Amino acid sequence: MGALLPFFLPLLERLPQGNRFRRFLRPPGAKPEKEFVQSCIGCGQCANVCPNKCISLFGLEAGIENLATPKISARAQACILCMACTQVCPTDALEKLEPTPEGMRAVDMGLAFVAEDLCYSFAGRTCGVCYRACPLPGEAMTLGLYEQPHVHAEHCVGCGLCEQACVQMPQAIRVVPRAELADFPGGVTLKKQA
Amino acid sequence: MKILRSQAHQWFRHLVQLSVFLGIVATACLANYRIFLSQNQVETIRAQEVESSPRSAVLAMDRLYHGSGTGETASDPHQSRQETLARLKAIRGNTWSAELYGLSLTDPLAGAESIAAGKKINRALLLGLLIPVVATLLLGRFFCSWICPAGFLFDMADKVRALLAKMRLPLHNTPLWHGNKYVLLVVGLALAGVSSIPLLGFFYPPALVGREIHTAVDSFFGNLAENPQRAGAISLTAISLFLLGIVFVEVFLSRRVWCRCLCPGGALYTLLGAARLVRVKNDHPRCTHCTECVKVCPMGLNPMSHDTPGPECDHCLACLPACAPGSLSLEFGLPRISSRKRKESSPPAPTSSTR
Repeated sequence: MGALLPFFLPLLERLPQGNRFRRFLRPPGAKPEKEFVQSCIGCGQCANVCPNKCISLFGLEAGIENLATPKISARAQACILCMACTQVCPTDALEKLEPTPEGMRAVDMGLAFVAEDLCYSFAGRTCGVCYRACPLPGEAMTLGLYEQPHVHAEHCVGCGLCEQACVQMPQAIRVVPRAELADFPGGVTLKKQA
Repeated sequence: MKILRSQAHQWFRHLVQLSVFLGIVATACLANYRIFLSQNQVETIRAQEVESSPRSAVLAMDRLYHGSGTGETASDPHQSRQETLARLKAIRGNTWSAELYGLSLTDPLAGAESIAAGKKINRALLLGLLIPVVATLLLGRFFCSWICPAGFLFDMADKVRALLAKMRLPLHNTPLWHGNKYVLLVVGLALAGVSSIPLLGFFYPPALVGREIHTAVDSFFGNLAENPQRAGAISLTAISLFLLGIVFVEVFLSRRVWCRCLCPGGALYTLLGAARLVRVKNDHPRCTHCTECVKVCPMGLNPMSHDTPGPECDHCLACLPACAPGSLSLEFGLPRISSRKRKESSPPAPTSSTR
């Protein structure tokens, strides 16, 4: 049966693959995506301790490589950066972070993007809901004219609270994992400052 | 040693299995109660007038943790809440990976495939693996018969099978090569290494049972907060179908086929526990070759053929009360190197159709 291994490999590549522009975030403290999928054993302890119920486990909807791994859908329920999940991971797929301002600033789940054609404030109506939801106001996000949100890539932790709070439908502000920014048209590469 | 000759220790074993199974349900319930408590939802649930089963479950947990349901009893309500939350956090997880009062426990198979997929070891994983691996090295494959929640389900299915057999239903017992599980383990680990995805956990019943229990309990309590019309309902996933399929095959087609021949975790435990310090031993002069122990063995082994039934024995000890002449006993100590010579000199055992 071991000799059949070469026949399995092409099959494995044809298994359902996740969406390249996936609309989900990993919990805070997660290692880089590839490393994370390798070390996560899908025990679900992070989803168990999350007091905000924002972490859920994947079924098969995002491909076999993501099965039983944790995800956060920021629009449905965003991360409140309590760091409970980073304390319990048995394989260090989520690296330990402290629930302190420093720990919060070390999180790198993604980067928020404002779709200016959808945003109320950019249409001249004062809104500012995303700014009020932001855990790092003035740092990760500043306000312009009519409370227009301006995201600062070097400080945004990608918790998704702005996306959850956005009054527009569909949301005018979205959080995208940083590793996928390079896949965006134009190849955006914005680094976060440690 | 006398208790080993009676059926009592089998009931004790099923009691241990049942408490592990119910323990997983309890941890899932406590996790949900913790979420309700940290979201201040317990107060809302207390005030609710609609009677529903999740509500009474939450109130029962509330009474357990806060006395007579009056809420925070300490002078500082915030302090009391934090203490309760910390206390609730101390037990979590399932047999795939759990934490009991700071003691991290991870299934060796989870560790093996995580190492195979990531090609590196980290400290947290090693700490979690320490106790299960050392226990398996000393005691052998005891996890399968004493702790595994799927093993408990399959044990119960075996009891149903015995009942059906008593009713003279035509049950098949298709033999399968026991080595299949090692092939599955090696191929699974190799695929995990090549594809960098820990694949084995997706069809390893104890992990699936734990995940399914958590899904079911979460949906049970989720209905209380979000969907009062469906109070008391639970949702299950395809995992249940998979487990039901195994149970069906084991009852009607082939006895205990998963644990005997297919379980990659069982294979890993067998390999780890090859040099165990506890064994079932046959005292040859007293053995009458009645094959009662062979018929009763859930793992399909032959306890009377040579000194020990081999490394695949999972110490369920079902053969001990079945042995009428009392030639089977438990042996403690290092394995003897000369056991192979004894095997050659001992009389060839009659093969049985039940194997």
